[in-house]
Amino acid sequence: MVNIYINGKEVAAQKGETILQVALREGYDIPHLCYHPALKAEGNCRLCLVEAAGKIVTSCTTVVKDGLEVNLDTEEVNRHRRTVLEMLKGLVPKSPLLNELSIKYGLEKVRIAESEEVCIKCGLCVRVCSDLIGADALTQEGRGTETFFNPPFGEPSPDCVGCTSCAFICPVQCIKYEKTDDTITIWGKTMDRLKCSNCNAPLDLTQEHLDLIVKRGDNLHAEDLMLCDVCSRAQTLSTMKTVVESQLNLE
Amino acid sequence: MSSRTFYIIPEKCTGCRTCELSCAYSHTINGQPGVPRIHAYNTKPPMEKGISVVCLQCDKAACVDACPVHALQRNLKTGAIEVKYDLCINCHACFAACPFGNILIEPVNNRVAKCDLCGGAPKCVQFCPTGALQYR
Amino acid sequence: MERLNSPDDLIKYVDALEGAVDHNKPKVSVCRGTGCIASGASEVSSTFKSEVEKRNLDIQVVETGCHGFCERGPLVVIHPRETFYQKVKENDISEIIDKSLLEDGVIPRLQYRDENKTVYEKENEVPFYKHQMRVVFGMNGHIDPTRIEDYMSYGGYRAFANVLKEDNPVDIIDTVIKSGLRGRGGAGFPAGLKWKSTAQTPGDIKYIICNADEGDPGAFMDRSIMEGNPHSVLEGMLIGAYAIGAGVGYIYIRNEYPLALDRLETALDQARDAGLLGDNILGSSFCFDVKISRGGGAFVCGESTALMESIEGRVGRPRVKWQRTAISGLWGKPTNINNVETWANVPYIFSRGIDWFTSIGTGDVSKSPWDGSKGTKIFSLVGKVNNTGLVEVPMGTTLRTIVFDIGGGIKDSKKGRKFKAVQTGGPSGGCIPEEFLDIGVDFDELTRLGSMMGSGGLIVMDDRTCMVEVARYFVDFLKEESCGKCTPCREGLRAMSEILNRIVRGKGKMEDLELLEDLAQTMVVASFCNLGQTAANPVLSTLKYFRNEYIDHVQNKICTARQCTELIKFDISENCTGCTICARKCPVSAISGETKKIHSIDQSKCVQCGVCYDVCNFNAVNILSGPEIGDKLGV
Repeated sequence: MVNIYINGKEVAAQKGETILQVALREGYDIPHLCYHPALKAEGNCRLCLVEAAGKIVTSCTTVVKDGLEVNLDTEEVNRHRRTVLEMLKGLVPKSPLLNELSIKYGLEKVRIAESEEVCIKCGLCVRVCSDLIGADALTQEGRGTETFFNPPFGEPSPDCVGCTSCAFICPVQCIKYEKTDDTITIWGKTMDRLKCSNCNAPLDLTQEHLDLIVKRGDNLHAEDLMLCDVCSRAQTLSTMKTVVESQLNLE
Repeated sequence: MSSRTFYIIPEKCTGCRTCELSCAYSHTINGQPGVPRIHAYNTKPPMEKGISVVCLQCDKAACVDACPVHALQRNLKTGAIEVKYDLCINCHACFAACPFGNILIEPVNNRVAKCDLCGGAPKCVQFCPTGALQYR
Repeated sequence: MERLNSPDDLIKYVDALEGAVDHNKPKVSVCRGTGCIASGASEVSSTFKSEVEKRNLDIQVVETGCHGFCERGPLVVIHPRETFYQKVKENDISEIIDKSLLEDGVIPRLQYRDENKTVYEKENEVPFYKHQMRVVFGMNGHIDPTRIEDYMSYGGYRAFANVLKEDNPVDIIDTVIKSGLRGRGGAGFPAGLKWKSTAQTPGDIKYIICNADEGDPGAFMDRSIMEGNPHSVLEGMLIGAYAIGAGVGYIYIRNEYPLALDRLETALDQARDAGLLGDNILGSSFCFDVKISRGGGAFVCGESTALMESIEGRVGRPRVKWQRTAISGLWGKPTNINNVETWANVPYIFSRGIDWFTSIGTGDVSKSPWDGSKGTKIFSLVGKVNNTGLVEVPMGTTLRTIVFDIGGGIKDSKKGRKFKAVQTGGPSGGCIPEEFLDIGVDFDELTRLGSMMGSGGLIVMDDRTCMVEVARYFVDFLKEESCGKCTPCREGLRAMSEILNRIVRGKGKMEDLELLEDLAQTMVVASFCNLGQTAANPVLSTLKYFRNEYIDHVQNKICTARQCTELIKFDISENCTGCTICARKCPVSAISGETKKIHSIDQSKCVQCGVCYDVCNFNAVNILSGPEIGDKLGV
């Protein structure tokens, strides 16, 4: 355990934690876009700037040290944070989230030329797909200002399982997908939804995703996953009934 | 592991569905009643009238096994497996994996939900008029 | 060559080779650096060889690495008199052999003469070389880089043999710390301290890396070291690996350097054959080998973590340093990374001693390894100077010495061109104006002036160089090379590029200058890696020292240097003699006029290429900018 000071207040922290983790847990507000607690921080968006030991750093990539003094809202931090936000708003002018942050952090006017982009290029979609889901269906393409995210070569990826986690995790909600009763379409790939083996209702699952889940779990069997939740509960109910009835009969 | 356990006593259940109602109202979404995480069913004799199906908080839970981000964690005080929403990436693997149908999707925000034993004071137990649900 | 089985064997072998060199024997060194090869050095050297063979002469022809004076290639030096010939062509060779090798004569036509027509005979008398101190480049003009024996005949690998025989790793690192050697890649971190922390990190597997991803436009010193003396880099790496306890070394070299790659591979094979690489080096328990990793030429891969990502097989993009690379670097193992020039300096520290090394340069290293900068530094001197090429000088040499004594002053100074600024440190460096010409160049002084040492690029600019255009050029370069990972670098450069492109077209606003500063300051503190953190330097330093030029562009639509094509017009004055040369050279036939009468330019056709200005011998072409245009041309 170490102690750090956030805005002058002493706060206990675990060794190896980052400033952002500690501050968020303690209820402080630090704006951040590319950080997700399930992923290792990458420091891409640079919005989570704080002043630590007199230096401006990104709180998501700075590990706490005993006695570290952290200031979240110095004049300088706010100035740089606003400029980073201005850069992001210049990139994605129409994001409601960025508008909200601009109001909150006092960015009044975007002075740089606005682009037509919708993606803030934080890279969370790629990281969730490779590091968490384990599908590795997305990649960063291009470089510098030409950076964009895509399945490799822009082709529908054979590795995409249609879990839609990338769309969920995107901070500016710019990844679109479409679900019908029969299919899920995302990143240009249309996948069939599995059907409940009992009632034929569409499951929230594709064959590819099923295979991945079964492979991930230590003790999961594909046939157990083929029932919809209603049929699963019906099955549970009937099992419980059988147990109860057999007990009643015994009595 | 928690010393307390959630009991369903079918002999006392009337299938009145008060448990569903109390659950929906204690897990509201934007002020609206949420999706009940417990389901009460009417049955036929020789049982009295009903039975409730709710998460069994399995020791070796399939949902935990399927989760890629360890967003399903057991609360050691209550014994409940809880969804840590800040970690959840909404892949719905737990929903698919639960063989008992006890993980649900909240249609409003497309997020998974499951019984969390209301943090140690289950509302369904509190409101069950016949004492068919107990947590002791 | 035969495998050597002990340090003593190696020392004996080196001694023998060194003793066998007859320094009075006639020898011809032909520079075969990339620059000279481009101007025909390969043909020159092969003709030399065949001619010598044909006439059955006892003359050694050595194809050496880069001599540095690339502008004047192909270069030939005749030993032992050290007669220096430049711009040698194939059909000069017979004459050189007749006059300068078989007799003691010289061929004036091939000799170097400066602007004042003074002729210099010997290589080290030529002003370009006279003010230099060539240590790392010391052997370049003498040895054949493809022969390990040549390197050894100049004492090569003796330092390593002595180190292996006598020193323990702690002493070696101590020596490097005391020498004050600072990393030549740009940041100037004391090499010894880096070695120490890697050596002290526990672990069986450790790596050392030689960063040969030289990406600055116009900089080619690392390339010339690798091409001209690859064994010096290997020897440095051997000493480092032994001190640090590394088993594998990587040389990360860009694929655009085929010759350097070739020379390194040859050197590695020779060192392996000699028992200097591989298992049980020189019969000791020390095992070390070097692998070559070729990069795809991304500028950002010169950054240490991006370089490691690239070696590991991923896209070269910097990664978060949760721990220093000395603790967790390549494949998560303790890793020491140094630049080519740093490694190449190491053998000399051991062969010539700490006292010798610390006597060169600035500061007092006995106080702290951070105090001052020791040793020499190679600069790549390019731009508007008379003598361009690679220059090795002691740290602390003034910019004035480099630009005016070595560089021979500003090109076309007789036509009135004057020094304006020198840009140091490559694209991420800054521009230093005339008032600071007398500062001694070392790591700390350059940083103090808002520039940096970088890898050692020096671009000299004259009064016809527009500083806004310079900033625009570098920002556009960096925008192309930014990896796109972090917001400030990616978006900051995009915004800056947009603004600067607007300003050079005369469409800027005064608020733009403030915005440029805001963006630049945030990029400095908030960017992820060094590329982004220093990317604003060209803008910040030009805004600091040449703000007037920005204001002229924005408010008065004047390009002071008469360079920004959208702000200038060409006009022919009464000085015109009607020689018609401009009319003949104009690529768009915009100039008309009769012989011996004043010509005129059709502004609607003119594309502002400046050819007329360059070719006019009577100073009759004026470049107008701002209100002048309206006054003179009525547009």
